[in-house]
Amino acid sequence: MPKFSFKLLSLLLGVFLGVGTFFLFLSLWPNEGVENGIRHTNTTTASSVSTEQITRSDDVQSDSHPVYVVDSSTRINELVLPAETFARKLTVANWISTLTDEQILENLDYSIQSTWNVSLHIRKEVQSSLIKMLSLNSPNKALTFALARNEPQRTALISIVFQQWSQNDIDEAIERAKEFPEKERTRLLHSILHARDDLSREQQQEVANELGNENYALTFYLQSLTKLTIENPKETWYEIVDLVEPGNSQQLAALKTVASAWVSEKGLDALDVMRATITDDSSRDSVSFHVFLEHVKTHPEATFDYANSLTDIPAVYLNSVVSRWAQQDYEAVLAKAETLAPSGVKNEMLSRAYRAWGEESPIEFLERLDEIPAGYQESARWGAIPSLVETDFPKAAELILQFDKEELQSMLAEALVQKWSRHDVEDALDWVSRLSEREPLRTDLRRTIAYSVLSADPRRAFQIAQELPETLIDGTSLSNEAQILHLIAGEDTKVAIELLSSVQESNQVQAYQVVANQLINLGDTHDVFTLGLQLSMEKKVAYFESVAIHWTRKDPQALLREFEKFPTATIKSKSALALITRNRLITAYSEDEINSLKEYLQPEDEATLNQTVLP
Amino acid sequence: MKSTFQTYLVLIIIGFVLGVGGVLIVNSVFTNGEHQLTPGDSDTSETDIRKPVNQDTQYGERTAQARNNVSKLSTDLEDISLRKDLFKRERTLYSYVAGLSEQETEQVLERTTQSSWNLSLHVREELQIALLEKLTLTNPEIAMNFALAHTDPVEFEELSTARIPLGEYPFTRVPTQLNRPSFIQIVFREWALYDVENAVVNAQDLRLEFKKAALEGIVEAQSDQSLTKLLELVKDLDLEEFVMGSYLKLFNTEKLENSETHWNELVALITDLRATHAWILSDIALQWYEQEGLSVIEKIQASTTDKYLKGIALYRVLKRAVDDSPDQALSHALEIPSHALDRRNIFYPARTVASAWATLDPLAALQGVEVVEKSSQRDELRRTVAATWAWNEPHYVLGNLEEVPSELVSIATSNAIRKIARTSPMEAAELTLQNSDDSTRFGLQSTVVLEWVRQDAEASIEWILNLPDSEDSRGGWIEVLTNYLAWSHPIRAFEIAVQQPLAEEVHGKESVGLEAQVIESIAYDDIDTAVSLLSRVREGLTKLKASTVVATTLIDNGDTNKALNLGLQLPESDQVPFFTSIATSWAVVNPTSLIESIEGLPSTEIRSALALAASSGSAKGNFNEKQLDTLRHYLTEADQTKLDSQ
Repeated sequence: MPKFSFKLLSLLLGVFLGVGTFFLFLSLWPNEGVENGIRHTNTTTASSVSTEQITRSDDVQSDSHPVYVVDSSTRINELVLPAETFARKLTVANWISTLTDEQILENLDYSIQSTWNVSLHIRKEVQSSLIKMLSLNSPNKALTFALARNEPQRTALISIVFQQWSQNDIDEAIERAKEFPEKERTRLLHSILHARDDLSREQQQEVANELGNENYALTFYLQSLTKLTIENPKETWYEIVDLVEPGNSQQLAALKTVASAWVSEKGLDALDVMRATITDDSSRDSVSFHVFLEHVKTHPEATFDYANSLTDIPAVYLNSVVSRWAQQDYEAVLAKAETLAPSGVKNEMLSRAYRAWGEESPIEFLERLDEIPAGYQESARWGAIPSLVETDFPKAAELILQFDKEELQSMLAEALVQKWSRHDVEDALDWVSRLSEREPLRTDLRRTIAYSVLSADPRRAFQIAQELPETLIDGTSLSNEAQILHLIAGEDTKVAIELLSSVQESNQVQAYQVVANQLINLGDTHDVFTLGLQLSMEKKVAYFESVAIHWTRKDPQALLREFEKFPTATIKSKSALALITRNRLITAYSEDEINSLKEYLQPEDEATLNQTVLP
Repeated sequence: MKSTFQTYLVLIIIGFVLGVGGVLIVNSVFTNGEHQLTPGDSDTSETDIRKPVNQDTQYGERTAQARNNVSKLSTDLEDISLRKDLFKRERTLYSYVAGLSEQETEQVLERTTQSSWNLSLHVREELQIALLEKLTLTNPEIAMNFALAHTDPVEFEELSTARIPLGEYPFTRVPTQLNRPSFIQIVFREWALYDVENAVVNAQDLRLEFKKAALEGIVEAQSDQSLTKLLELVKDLDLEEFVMGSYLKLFNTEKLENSETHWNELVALITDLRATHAWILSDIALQWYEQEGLSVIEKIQASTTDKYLKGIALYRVLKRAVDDSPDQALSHALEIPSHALDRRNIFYPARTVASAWATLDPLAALQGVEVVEKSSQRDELRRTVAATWAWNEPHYVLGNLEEVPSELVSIATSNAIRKIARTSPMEAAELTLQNSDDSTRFGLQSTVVLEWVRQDAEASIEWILNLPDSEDSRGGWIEVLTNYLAWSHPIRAFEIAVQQPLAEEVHGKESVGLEAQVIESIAYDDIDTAVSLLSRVREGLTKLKASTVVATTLIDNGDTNKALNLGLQLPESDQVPFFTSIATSWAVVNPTSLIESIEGLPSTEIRSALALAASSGSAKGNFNEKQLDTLRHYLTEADQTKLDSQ
């Protein structure tokens, strides 16, 4: 017997040794890839080193996936994160679960450092997870971090804080939210309502009231009904149509979504019902318009017929339908228009269709312009010409020259050179120069080119203007140089001043005057005096007279303060005379101020003043 | 002895083997599922996961125990505590999904679309995301098909940023979805991490909004590539302009080390001028400012890029700089030439700084702008400061006007009243009445009445109509009221207008009754009502104006005959101006009808006037030569001369 017991004992001893050795083995065995307490899988799905690309292995089975031992002492910038989002989020979540609030805060600080070399979306992802955890116990600390971020991460993190906070203690969350400015408060309200989908509608309304945006509870409710697929649009419509507040664009957007869904399902007949059930005119129009714009994409003619049958919608709605239809199929619109009696609608359809035709095939349109009814030929200006590509310009030019109607030809030629000169001013000028038999068209086109290139190349614009024959335009007597300088000075006075030295002598006074006027408009009055001094004596007088008049229109008191700077006694006298005479018609100065101007008058000018008879 | 010892040794060895083998067998039985040695433990928040689950199972071969575990856990997802704890939800969901096989992942994903599974919306959505992230690694096509087939709450379409005030972030998503990529973006991001070529191939045939979302995902996955490489990778998607936008988003980060370098690199590349692009660039500019101070203003201006982008950056830098040193900010702002900015920016640097300064400290701002040399500019900035101050503190300013320089009282008062009108239109109306400044009164009346009619039309009507006749501005108030009422309460507007006395004649010219304007507004929306009201319009010029407007609308609606009859009902003396006025509309809409009808008009004078108007100006282009010839036959000699002299 004892022998047997000893044998049994030996056996049992062996068993215990085996079990003990097994567990010892388990606890001591160093797994591959342990790094900073993080354990990596041996599979190839997640080769978890930094964020390098991984190779998908065909024998990967997702039964094997990375699971990690988390070490709370690991800092975020020491974590080795899997490249795949799923594995990474799990890693991070497991790590975060071991952290204290202080450690979370510390890691949040690391997360904003550029030394943590991760992509933006990983950074945001990790920050979001950290904030979720921190918000559980320390929402204020989480909020402080979130508030210091840049947008849109700032709002994203604040939203997370308030979502969690409203779960922890909704009253406290609301009180804190009240401290935010109005616009932000609405965003916080959204976050709270989003998180607390367990609240009744009445409770949601209370929250919204507390945060000063009573309407938002309803808005939120309506949006929540419509953000996923609407299973039963008709039922949803009837549920919400009377709830929507007129003028509330967000709520109206929800209504429009339902309307679109219903029409997609049942066609435009559904819109009849909807229109009959909306009491507010503006909302009805808005929903109808939305449906039209959606439905015209797939059923343009039906949409047009429907919209055209309504008598109480703004004309712009029907025009928009026509416009979109024409963009899709101008030929169909033309055909449809021919079936209608003359009306504004028919006119609009023809206009849009011809314009769309021109946009789609500009050269073809120009070739067939003679076939198009007279009233619509001008549409080439807005449709065909802007749609020309650079290589088409010569051909278009040739076609335009063949038109009979002079006015139409001028208009289209002008539109063409405007566009052409922006691509290649010399080419455009070259074509125009070949119109030697076609005055005044040629001069008009050169002028158009000068004005077209003015912004991009003011010096070239000036050169072109200088070469134009002088003509009276619209009753003004400004020379070409002065006119163009007036425009150049409006964009860049420095360039305008530079070009003054190139102005022909006969035009100098005007040119200097227009530039000076612009300087006065901008308050650069110092340069006004400098410019004037460049002129000859005779021209100075006319210049400063004009300056005085313009200046007194803009800032009469400033002129008086600066009057002493007018260069000579003669100039002061002539300018004072002009101001005093003007003041008789348009009062800018008091009697005392006029008297002070009179002191500058030389005897000759004083005599002139006394002889002047008031109208 | 020796043999005994050997016997015991053998027994120990056998026992050892039995011990090890037994433990192995027992362990393998209990580790098929998420749980290691405690099969019933489902609380993952407490336990560190120490080894990979499912290590011992083959694909598709799961024990009943494991299936039960999964099933139990899926029930745990219905646990209400997951609604309350965002972090726990995240961890629980990811841990749950981690334990699923590929087949189970697909099955659970499908199951999430069934309303019979009682999950909260948040759990369902986040679960779908986790499942997609995982499934894409093994079966991207299925993941993609799911994403395409199921409605994703995240909208694809970017919300319009056209009305975002300058300096505000152009939010395109609600706050809870800001970092929430769409399903498609998620799938393609994960796919492109390991197989970008196939990801791109599969994105090619998607419709545009899905393709753009796929591109976002691919760019995110390949975020360490240069822009050139990215463009090369995705060239088959034909979305080059969007690549820039996606690439730019990668720079929306804090603590950039080389802001200036990034600025210079990016401004050279951007061609699509979206508000979000401008925002990101301006963020970089702000960081640049934090590093280098206001000297960045000149550098930004010198950049060769679109003025709109520069403008947004300048705006934000200047506003930030006001907090640090407003006087220096102003000094730099004054140096920015007007042509440096794009019209779309709609901001004037110096005014922006002055306004921001006034918000911080209005009195200091008033003093601060006195240093501006150019007088017109200085005055403008003083006005800006006063206007901002009054807008921010309307009641204070109105109650302390002595603190406002006398020449600025007018603008301060009007701005304060405008602000008050937003919340208390009646108070604003009373204040406007007391305001003696004629130059601002009409503008104020308009602002106040517009707000008031919007908020409480009846109250506005009552107050305005009860103004005493002796009140000089009463007429102006009523005119503004009827203008705004005509859109929302047309009949009411007409009733009020028709009761107002006609204004006194000026220079012998008859004045037009207010109802003509109202009729014009009504005709735009409801021609039938406008026609029915015509009979109540006062005779004379008022009726002529109203009839002309209504007739034009009738012609537009195709009712030319009705339009003509309106004219023929007018006194003879009014018919010439009537037909002259409608000639252009008639010519545009129905030139043939005009030609055909002209003969039937009652007098030579009328026929000639119509012919002259139709042969001139913009009307002329609607007729061919033959029609123009016909019209010429109706011209009197005098009108012929007029036409020839045009």
